[in-house]
Amino acid sequence: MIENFEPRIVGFLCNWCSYAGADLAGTSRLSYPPNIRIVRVPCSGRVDPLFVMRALRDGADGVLVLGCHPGDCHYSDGNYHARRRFAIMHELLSFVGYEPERVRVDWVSASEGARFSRVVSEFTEKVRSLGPVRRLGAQAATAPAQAAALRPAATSAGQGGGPGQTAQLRELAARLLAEGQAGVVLGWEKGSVRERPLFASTAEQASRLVVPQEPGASLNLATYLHHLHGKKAALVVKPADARAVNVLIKEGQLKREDVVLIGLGGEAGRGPLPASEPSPASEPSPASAYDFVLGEPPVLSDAFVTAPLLDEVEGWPVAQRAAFWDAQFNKCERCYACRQACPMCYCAECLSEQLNPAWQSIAIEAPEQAFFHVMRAYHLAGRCTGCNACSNACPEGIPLYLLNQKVAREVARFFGPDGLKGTGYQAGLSADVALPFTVFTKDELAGGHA
Amino acid sequence: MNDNPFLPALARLAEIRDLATGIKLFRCEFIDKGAELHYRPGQFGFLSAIGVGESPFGLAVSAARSGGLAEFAVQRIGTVTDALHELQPGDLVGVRGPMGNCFPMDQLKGDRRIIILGGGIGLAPLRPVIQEILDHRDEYGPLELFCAARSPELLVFREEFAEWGAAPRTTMHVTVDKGNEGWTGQVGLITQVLAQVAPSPGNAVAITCGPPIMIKFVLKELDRLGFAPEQVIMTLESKMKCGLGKCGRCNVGDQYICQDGPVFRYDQVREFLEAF
Amino acid sequence: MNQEIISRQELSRWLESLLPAHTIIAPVHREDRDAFAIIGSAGEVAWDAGRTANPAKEFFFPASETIVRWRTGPAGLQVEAPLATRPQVLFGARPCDGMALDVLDRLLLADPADPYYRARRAATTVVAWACGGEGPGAGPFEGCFCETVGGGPADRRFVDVLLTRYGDDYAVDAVTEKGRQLLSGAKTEPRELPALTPRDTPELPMPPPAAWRAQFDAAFWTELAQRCLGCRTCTYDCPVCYCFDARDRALPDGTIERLRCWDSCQGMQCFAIAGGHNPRPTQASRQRQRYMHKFLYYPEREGVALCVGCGRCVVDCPVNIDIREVIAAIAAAERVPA
Repeated sequence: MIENFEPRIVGFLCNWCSYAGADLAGTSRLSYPPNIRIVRVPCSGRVDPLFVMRALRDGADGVLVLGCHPGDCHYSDGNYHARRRFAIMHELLSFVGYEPERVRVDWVSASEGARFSRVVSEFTEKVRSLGPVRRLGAQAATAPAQAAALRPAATSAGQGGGPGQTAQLRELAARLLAEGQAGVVLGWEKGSVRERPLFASTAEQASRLVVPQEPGASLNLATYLHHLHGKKAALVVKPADARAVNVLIKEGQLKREDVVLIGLGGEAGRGPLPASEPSPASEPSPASAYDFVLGEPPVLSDAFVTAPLLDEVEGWPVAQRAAFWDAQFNKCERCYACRQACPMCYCAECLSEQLNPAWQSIAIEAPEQAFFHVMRAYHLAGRCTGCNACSNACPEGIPLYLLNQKVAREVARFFGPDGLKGTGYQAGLSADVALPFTVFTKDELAGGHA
Repeated sequence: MNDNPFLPALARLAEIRDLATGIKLFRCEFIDKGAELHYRPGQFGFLSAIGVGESPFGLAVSAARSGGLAEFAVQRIGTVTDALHELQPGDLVGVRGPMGNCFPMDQLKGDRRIIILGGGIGLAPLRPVIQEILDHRDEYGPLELFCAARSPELLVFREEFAEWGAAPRTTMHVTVDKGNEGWTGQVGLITQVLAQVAPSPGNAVAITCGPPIMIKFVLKELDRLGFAPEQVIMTLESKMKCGLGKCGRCNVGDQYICQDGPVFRYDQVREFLEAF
Repeated sequence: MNQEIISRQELSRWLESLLPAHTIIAPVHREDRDAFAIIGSAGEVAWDAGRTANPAKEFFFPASETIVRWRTGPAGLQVEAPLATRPQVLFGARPCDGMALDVLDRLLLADPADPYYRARRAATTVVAWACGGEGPGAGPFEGCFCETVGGGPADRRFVDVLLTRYGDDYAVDAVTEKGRQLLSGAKTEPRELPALTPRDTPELPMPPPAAWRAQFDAAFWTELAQRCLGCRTCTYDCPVCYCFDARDRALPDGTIERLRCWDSCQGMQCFAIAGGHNPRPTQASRQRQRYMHKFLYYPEREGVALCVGCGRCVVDCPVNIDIREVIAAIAAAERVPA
């Protein structure tokens, strides 16, 4: 521990309960350490995890978020949302190398002056014992060599249907175009250095379509759905891509009838089949998943293949994780290939480039890259379907998928398949599942989050 | 003097004048007199709100009348201009310049009839031209000035209109798209007034600056009145980060606004590869 | 052919002797790729490296650079424009990396010169490895097309020293006085060496600027841009893309820095003005800007293409937009006028 280290604590206090509680502590002459700088917000639900990340990035040694007790929120449910958000953000921050005790979410009511004083004192002492917060990027030199390769494994079942299906695909595409069922077929063609997206709107172009054979180079064609300007599109999709379409439908970005989904099956086989035809596959795909399937209909679940690297990184001490991510993020040039390749990143103005307010500077150096990637991973919670387009697009080979896998693992740990309490949530299994940050149950995640 | 073209010279805001709603005039007095700008009408400079960034603005006063100060008319519209508008007289700013080409004042001399059309804040870069003509009145021919804005509270340099209108062989036409209570002047689009006045294109030159939509319709009207493209001059803007031809982004097609412009003749503009 | 040769061992020793007074940039092997990096010892040099994943650009024109610093101290306001002065050696560059510096010099050193680039440039000696020698890393590499833009695997025009590999030894060509000075501490010996077989690269002729101008409004750009993601990989990995952004930032201690950072014509907001007007609102217009800047505007203004044929954008573009295919398409259009 450093001599005379006075931690700098930032506290976000909700106006109605915790701020009043702090006031009461003051008027009751209860003392608490002066290290805390308080930012008053209307509700703990107002506290964007972005604020917490920014505070840590800028040198806050600890961040405290205090709200009304669940059930007592002045705005009814703000703190329920906060509780969910921070459950995830907390795990993500720990994963990228922040000691989990540096961020604490707790509940203090207006009458709990003593409790406020106790929480702040405990937290300050805890942070004092941890020492100064890391400077993002500084530990890169001590990054561990990792046993497993950085590149993601083939992500999803059903990837890489056989070349025999290529003829079927071309025929199907030509037919869809000729019959006007689609104005453009988005698929893949053989490129000059790798397979690449093809926008086929003529018969000649359709004749160049191939079934992609290169999982590692694969992107998610759903990312183009925002740029089609009303043209009805047919998409060649892997299961993770089809799930991404489901999430986009749920988020109101498109309607199911706007897109024709051509699923890639796992083996060369019969097809293309209309998806309504039953298949002998062990787990039938929901009818809404595909309009046509080449080969055996692939299952939609298990898009996140457990990577040995995720288990390995999770098992490291937090300081080792910090060094690992410092080294990885230092490689980032803020080219935004990850974001542009991602179908879920469709904000007209990304927080990373916004000037007013400017969440980060334009600098292409630490800590800006880490800030961007952590916030992007957080914003994908419950939405990322594990297509790995981000990692495949990254020219520096940063294993971004690890962040998304980690977040998805935590979301699945806390939330059930319907988005509510339980376990096992997976994004995009259907277009009807509630997105985890839009719902809550009152008695979940009990006990605050320290 | 410094040979680093990216290093702004420090200046104090000697005066901040409200020109119109959301538009202020910043008069910057250089701390080092050696850094004062030597410039011609039409050139521009970069004004820094230190701590936020810098943006390009036309130099809005003739060099002769500047007293060595750099004057910029700034509309509050983005992060840098927001920050500038929050400054107070006496505050420190940064100035770089002069940059770009200039209006061809020599070609305006003689007996040529000069028509100047300024819309909104577009009047600011034209002001040095007007002032230079008025200060050397005998060297120039008849001057017809059209000053327009969407509404009276958006007219800039109103307090100088009297001086301009009173000059010999000079006619002022002031108009707003929409009047307000207390406005007794003309109401009408600048193109409508231009059509009514119908200046003859014979031996004339027209200079215009304003919002793109205004320029578009003014060009149309001038064409209708018989002005050849070579007789029409305009000044353009684009996003800039250096003003020196190094940041790579201010080009419209092969024309770099900071190097080949910002002043262009209409016949040149018509050859532009892209829309601006 | 009689040449001076230097062994790898001697090169390592020589590099070690330079380290105390020089920043040395060399290819190193990191994770699964070769990259230019500042080395702490000659042992870090990846002698078998192929084309580096990153260009050498960042050592002359950093991704982020503080160009002005305003500090309020006891003596009042201090303004600095920090210039790099430490001598640098760029070791293991390829001829295209050298050519890249010449291409950038034409703009960045032209009056008024960019003092930050100029300082780094003046402080750097370029010791290049020729492509086409004997041994790993001889090239050509996937996507290379330097001959198209007037370069070549053994192009010695823009480097201070050119080393050609013969197994574990290198033929030394001290091109400039600067190179000779730096090499003065290295031991070479004469040897008779065989001529190298010139490599056989597919021909890709470069259409003249007029051909690019003629295709300015072609539908080709819209089609090309369909799959473009609008990321910045091509521009950031390019040795000669130089467009930059500049913004101030305030540090916690009150210091204000003006940052100059890489920017990209592929970003949606690159050309947008405050107030919302965007003269290049479509990816097609931005893709076109990239190629026109490289093959029309820059040649007309500076005399050379803004491209050295290194091939990085070819292999790095996530959607395989291939600059060679663009060049070939313009050449094909030239042969068959519309």
